[in-house]
Order: sequence, then structure tokens, then C-alpha cells
Amino acid sequence: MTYNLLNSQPTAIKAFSLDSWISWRVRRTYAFFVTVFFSILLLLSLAVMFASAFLPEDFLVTISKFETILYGATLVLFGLWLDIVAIEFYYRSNLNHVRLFQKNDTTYYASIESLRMVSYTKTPLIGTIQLSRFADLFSKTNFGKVFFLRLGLSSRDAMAWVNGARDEDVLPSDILFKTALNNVDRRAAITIRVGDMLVALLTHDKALRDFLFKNKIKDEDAIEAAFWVEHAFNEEGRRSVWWSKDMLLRFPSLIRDLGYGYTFTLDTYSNEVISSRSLLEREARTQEIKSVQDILARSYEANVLLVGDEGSGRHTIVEGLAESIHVGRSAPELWDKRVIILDEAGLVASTKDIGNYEEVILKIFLDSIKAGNIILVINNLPALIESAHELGVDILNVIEPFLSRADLQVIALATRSTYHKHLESNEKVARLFEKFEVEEPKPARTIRMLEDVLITLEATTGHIFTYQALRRAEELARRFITEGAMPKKAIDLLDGAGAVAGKSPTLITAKDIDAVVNKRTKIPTLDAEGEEKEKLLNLEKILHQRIVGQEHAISAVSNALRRARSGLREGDRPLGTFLFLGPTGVGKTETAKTLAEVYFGDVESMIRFDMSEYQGDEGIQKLIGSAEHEEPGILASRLRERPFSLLLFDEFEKASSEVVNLFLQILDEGRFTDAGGREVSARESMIIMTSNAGSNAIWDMLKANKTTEQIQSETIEAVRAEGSFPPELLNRFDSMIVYHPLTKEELTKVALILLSELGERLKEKDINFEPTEDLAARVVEIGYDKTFGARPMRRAIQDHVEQVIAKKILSGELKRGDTFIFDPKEITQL
Amino acid sequence: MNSIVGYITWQYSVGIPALFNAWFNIHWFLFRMFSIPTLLGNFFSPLYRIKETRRRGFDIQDFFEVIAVNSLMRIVGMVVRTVFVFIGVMAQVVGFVIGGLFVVLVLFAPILAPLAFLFGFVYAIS
Repeated sequence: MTYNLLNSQPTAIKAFSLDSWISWRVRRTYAFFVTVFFSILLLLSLAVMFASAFLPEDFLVTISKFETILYGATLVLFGLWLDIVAIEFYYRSNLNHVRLFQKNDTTYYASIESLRMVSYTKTPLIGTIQLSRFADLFSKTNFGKVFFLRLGLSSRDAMAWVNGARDEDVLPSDILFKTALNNVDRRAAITIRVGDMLVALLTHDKALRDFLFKNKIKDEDAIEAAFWVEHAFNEEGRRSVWWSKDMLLRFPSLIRDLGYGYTFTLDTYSNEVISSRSLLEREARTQEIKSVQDILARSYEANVLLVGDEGSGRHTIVEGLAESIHVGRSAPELWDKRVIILDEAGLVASTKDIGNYEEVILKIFLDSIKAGNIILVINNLPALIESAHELGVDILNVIEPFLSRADLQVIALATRSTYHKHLESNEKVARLFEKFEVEEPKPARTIRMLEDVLITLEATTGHIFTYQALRRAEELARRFITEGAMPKKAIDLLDGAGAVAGKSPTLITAKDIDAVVNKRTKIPTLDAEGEEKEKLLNLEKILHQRIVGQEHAISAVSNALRRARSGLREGDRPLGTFLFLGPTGVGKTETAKTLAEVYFGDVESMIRFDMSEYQGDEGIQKLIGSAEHEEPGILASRLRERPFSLLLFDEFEKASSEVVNLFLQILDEGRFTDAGGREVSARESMIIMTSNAGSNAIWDMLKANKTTEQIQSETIEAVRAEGSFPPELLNRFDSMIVYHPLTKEELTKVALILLSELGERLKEKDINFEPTEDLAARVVEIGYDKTFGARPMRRAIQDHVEQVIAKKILSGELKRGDTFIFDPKEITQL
Repeated sequence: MNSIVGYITWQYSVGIPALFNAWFNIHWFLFRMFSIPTLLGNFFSPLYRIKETRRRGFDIQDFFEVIAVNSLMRIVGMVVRTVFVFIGVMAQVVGFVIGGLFVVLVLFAPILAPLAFLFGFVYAIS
């Protein structure tokens, strides 16, 4: 299908060619000064003309030369001023989309900025174009400068694009526009924008592709940044056409209130809704505002209950509604309405008793009815019902007759959790209000909202945010910040990055956003580099410094972490999920502790749960909390405090069936819902469960001299057959690892590690302790127990080895600076 | 040169309706700013909807008091609205005169502007 060109010489292109003589900004400054001087001279001329009727003749002769120059200068400036007015009217009247192409029944328009591009680069709509001219445009114009800034580059960097190697600099225009139009169709739009032109350039200009690749900029980011910058420039253009209905609508009517009544009591306990958010932030909620308007414009029970989490946009919608009424864009039924928010706290605080409270409430609603132009906003309906209830008032009963009337509209707000708790089962609320759920916006829409929010944020902080920073804020907020709702979560991250950057204007990049998230959650969000990269590549070696043997286990957890930190992790599951099987005292818990210290930062990042405490019915409540007792669950609280951590669940076979069911979800989806209905994320945690299930089978297999691989597979089969865990749980682990009992050599190594730890403690006293193989063997002899594994060796060292050293220190036999080695006799006597 | 030709062509084709459209927008804006339809729609309503209601039962004094107060509020409302309607109409007249002047000036700007510039210059140095 071909696109037919409707107009090969649009007027707008000629109008925009003025920019190549004098830029629009310079012209505006020039126009301002000419207008000021012309006004001064005009007033002066008029004053002199008026005064000359009263001044004496001889004085008039004296000043006649001055008068001549004055009138002459006034005429000159008038000519200049009229010229500017006419040219600006011509230019600004062309700041509109232009019909340019047709395909079947669809007409395609070109946006102002895309036409400016065409004008600046002298691109003929029919003929051939020079690709390097586009590069030139981006390096020289204001649009280009802002575009590069949004990508974290300077215009100087753009010279690499201008001078870049190209296969061909010349391209037929129709091919360029066809590629752009294909992108417009893909977006399901009808207007060619700069972003679409950039898509076309990326397709045909190798120099641009190379330039972006070298600067590590994704094509999608460049395209989205172009759309964003164009949106801001379009807004500027739109505002300059001050005589358009759109702009004139912003001035409210001066005397609308003359048609409506006074509201004394209402005014005492309320405030007019004034928008504190940017116009464009409200525009991002246009659909929701329109839906709320439709409900309010009804002729019966026109009341809305806005339900959504904090920060999801409920107040933005209310402010947007007030703004649309203010500028006359609302439904006719809502014209001249005042949007008033009730001061619930002030109301409760200032009323003395039940009678007084009810009286005031009635007066407020009567005022609203009498005035006839009120939309009343109740900021927190559940809290209002609750506080009235404490005063002994059934507030819904009191206000029900008013809510049914057509001349008053009420908007009530509630969060999801308070709605579920207090309002969902209330039949009156269901009858009197239409519920409207304020959903979290999808990623693309959130980014649009953030683009608009940044206008205000940048104006107040002086910082500039790159597009990558904005996209990263949306991505990280959605993934790692579980408290709050979008877009507020993402806005907080942008705000946080701005605060860290300080007072002087700075360019905020994606790395700054990562730094904020890292600091708040301790989750490493950036790709592993430097020290962390070395640690990950050598993790087995590092772990083996503390863990003896158990190569399979060490390898499995190291691989899981490497996969996670290289971005290859699947879906939203936790970092790694493991079941460690085997007898006690062979290193299962020690593996977890070592991993916590080596990789997660410190031992505190390991959260340990002894599942024998979660056996009964109350086990699940201990973990996820209890709504009835308003207690937070221990698992929910700890994950919120420290999302990047290692969770160790010892003796998991003892957990109750409800707890097991909970973990089916956690292992599969990396999240669960606590008792309060809020989501808790375990996606950035590693989960290790330990169990002694199958231990007897392991001993039997060892006696039968089976290989490690045979022990691994047969133990797992035995555990499945035993039924200690449901099969659906076993299937959800990344790996089930059998810890084998330690050999004598391995036990000796463990003993040496434990003795080295003693050596570290003695070093603090400047005593050098050198453990020997013989000492370690002796510790194994006295400390190892088949049932309890290597654990009792620690007690053996404490009871035997440390006792000897302690006596020597106290008696003075062992002093600071000494080196101590146990001699064979002492070893035998242990 | 291309730009000048472009401007002249635009000015005397699409530019004329654009000018008149801008002039019309100013009138529309003033009409809306002074809420003339609302004022005329509520012309006889009591000012700020302030009115008395009769007490229960029949009391001849109360009856006539209520009629008197309510009539007074309606008359005051009419007077206040008349003043604002008058101001609104005056604003429209001023808008018409200034708007018309602007339209004429911009329409003839290609001739007026250079003439004024040249003539002013010659006059100043004469």
C-alpha cells in the first residue's frame, strides 16, 4: 500500500524557514524589547500631543525639533512593531499539525517539530535528501541540544554522528517518509512525529546506528527521548498561540459565584481543591477524570468512591477534575461547580459532643445543597465513618438523604486495604456510591506520567534527568520497591536521586537511580563489576575456604548466583531455591552462613527460621501476620526490612501444611500476600531449606559403597517416597542437594578451620597460634559424633583446646608476641 | 525571498480567516469571562440565593416580612447582575474596537509597516 502525498509545499515549512534566519527565541526577545520601546514612545507622543494644546507658543517652537524626532521615532518603531506582530501571527498560526499523506481512508498529519526538521534540513518532500543534514540539525538546534541532554550526551558528542561513516549520504525522500509512516501505523497513530523520523533515520543511516551503539544508547531509548522532547516543545508552541480557545479557556469566569449561594459552615470546615500537580501530570489521568465526570454528571446518586493505594493517583484525579471544571472543559452538568475538600480532622477536633457533631454535619450538607454548585470531596471515608462512630454517630445515616439528591455530588476516597476492611460489606456505601478503582498504570503510561512530572521536578530542583534515568526509575520501582503504588514509587526514586545530587544543577543518569535503590534496599541492581564480579567468578573457591567438601552444593548455589547477577534469571522467582538434605552437622547451615557473609554482605543478611516453631495452626500466622490481632508476620516484616537476603528454613519437614502451601507460591512466583492484603516480594532473596529427611538412607548407601552420584539420586528418590514433602513442593526447587557425611580427611580440614578461627581470636591478643594436623586429628577424635556430625567438634575445641590456652595465658606462660604450638604430649593429654 | 513570498501568499489566503478567527475568540473569551449567559439565566434569582422561609402556621406579619425580604433580595440581585452585564457588554465593545483595529493593521501590514518605517525615518531627520 502506498502513501499519497497530499501537499508537496506545506505553508508551515515556509513559515518555519524563518528559524534559519533568526531563531524563535531571539525573535521573541527582540519582539519584547521593540514592543516596550514602541509603547513608551507612543505614550510619550500622545502625552506631548495632549500637552501641546496647553503649552505656550514659544515653548512649542523650542521643542518642535524634539517633537519631530519623537514622532518620527514612534512611527519607525510602529513599523517595526507591526512587522513583528504580523510575522509572529503568521508563524504561530502555522504551529499546527499539517495534513500530509493519505493511505486508503486514513489521513496522516505531520507534527510541528517534524515539519521544523524538514524545513531546517531543506528536505524536499519529493526528491532526495542528505542524511548528514539531519545529523547537523541535531547538533545545532535547540531541539537537538535538549534531545542529547536527555540521553546524557552533549552536542559535541553529536559531531561523531555528523562526521560518521555512511554507506550513502543521499536517500530518496519517499523512502524516508514511508519508513516513518510505517512506524506511525505500528503505533496506531496518525501523526508523524520526530520519533518516527528518528526510526526512519535509524533504518537508513548507519552512522546514527554506530553512534548510538558506541555511546551505549539503546535505539528505543533514543526514540522515546525524541517523543518526550517533542512533547515539551509542542507544549511551548501551543502556549504561544495565546489567542486560541484552548489557551483562553485557562482564564476562569470572574463572576460565576453570583449565580450560587453562600456556604458559611461548609467554608469553615473545608478547602477549595487547588491543583498542586503539573497540568500535564493531570492530563496523564484524562481517561479516569472523564470516567469520574460521567458518574458525577448523572441525575441520580451521582457520587463516586475512588479506591486505590496511596500514590496511585486518586488526588491527581480529583485535582484534574477541579482543573477541567475551572477551565470549562468538563461536562456541561458540572460547569461552574466548586470542588471542595472536607477538613475531616478539623471537624472532629472542633465539635464537642454527638449533638454538636451531627448539627455541624447537617449544616455542611445543607449549605452544599442550598449553594447548588458544590462537589464535596471526603478525603478518607473509612476514617470519617470510624471517627463518627467513636462519637456515637452513624454518619452514613445522617448524610444519606443528601447523597441521593441531584444537586450535590460527593467524591469519597479510600485505600484498598481500608475499603476491604470497612466498606466492602457496607450495603449503604454500595448503594450510595459508584466504586471506581484507580489502577496502577502500565509501564508505558507510567513513563508518560513521569515525563510530565519531571517538568515540575526539574523546575524546582534545577536538575536535568536523562530518559534512561526516567525509564530506570520506572523499572526499579516496579521491581524492587514494594511499598506504595505507581507512579508515586517511581517519583520518589527520582526525587531521591535529586536530593542526593544536592543543590547545584546536575545531570541525573540511570546510575544515580540505581544508587538510590541500592541504598534503600541493599539490592544490587547494576550489573556485577569490579570486586563483586571477581567474587562471583571465584565463588566456589571463596566458599571452600570455610566449607569442606560438599562440592555439588557449593557449585549449585554459586551457579544460581552467577545466573541471577548476569541477568539470566527466569521470571520473578527468587534468586535461588535449594533443598539441602543430609545428616546433621555436615555443613548445611554453615554453607548458608558462609554464603550470607561472603555474598550478601554480612551474617545479619541471613534470616533463619526453625520450622519446628511453625508446626501448629498458628504457624502460618506467625509468618504472614494476623489481620484480627493486627500483628505483622515475621517473614513479611523481615523481607520488607531486608529484601536482599538469604532465608534459611531449618527442619522444613516439620512445618505445617498451611506453611508448605505458602511456600508453593513463594518458590514459584517469588511473592506472597500478608494478612493485611499487601504483597511481599521474595524475588531478591535466596531460599535454602534444610532437612534431615533421607539421612538413614544415606548411611545405608555409604555402607553399600555407593558413589556420590548414586547417593544423590537415590536419596532424593527415598525422600520422595517417604512423603516428608509434597511432590509439588519438591518440583519447585532449583536443586535438591544431598550433603554426605564427612570423611576423616574432611573432618580434619573442618577441625583446622575451627582451630584457625581460634587463632584469629588469639591474634587480637597478639598471640600467634599455629594449629597442626595432629591437633586437628585429635579434635576429630574427641569431638566427632556420627549422630551429631561435626558440630560437637566446636564444643571439643572449647572444652579442651581453649582450656589449655586459657590457663597458659592466665599463668603468664603465654604472653603477647609469643607463638604457640601444641606439642605431641599436650595433644595426647587433651 | 522564499519566506517573504510565503508570508504574503499566506496572509492573503489562509491568513484572513485566521485573523477573523482570532478576533472572534477574543469575543468568545469575554462573553465567557463575564458569564453573561449565567447572569441572564439567573437574572431574577435572589442574590447569592439568600432568601427567607416562612415559619410554621399562618402569621400575617411573617407572611409579609418574607415577601418583602425575598423581593428585596431579588431586586438587589437584578441590580448587581445588570451592572455586571453592562460591564460585560462594554468589554465586548472595547474588544470589538481594538480587535478590529488589530485586524486592519495586520491585514495591511505588508504595506503599512515599511511605509511607517520609511516615513518615520524621513520625518525624524527632516
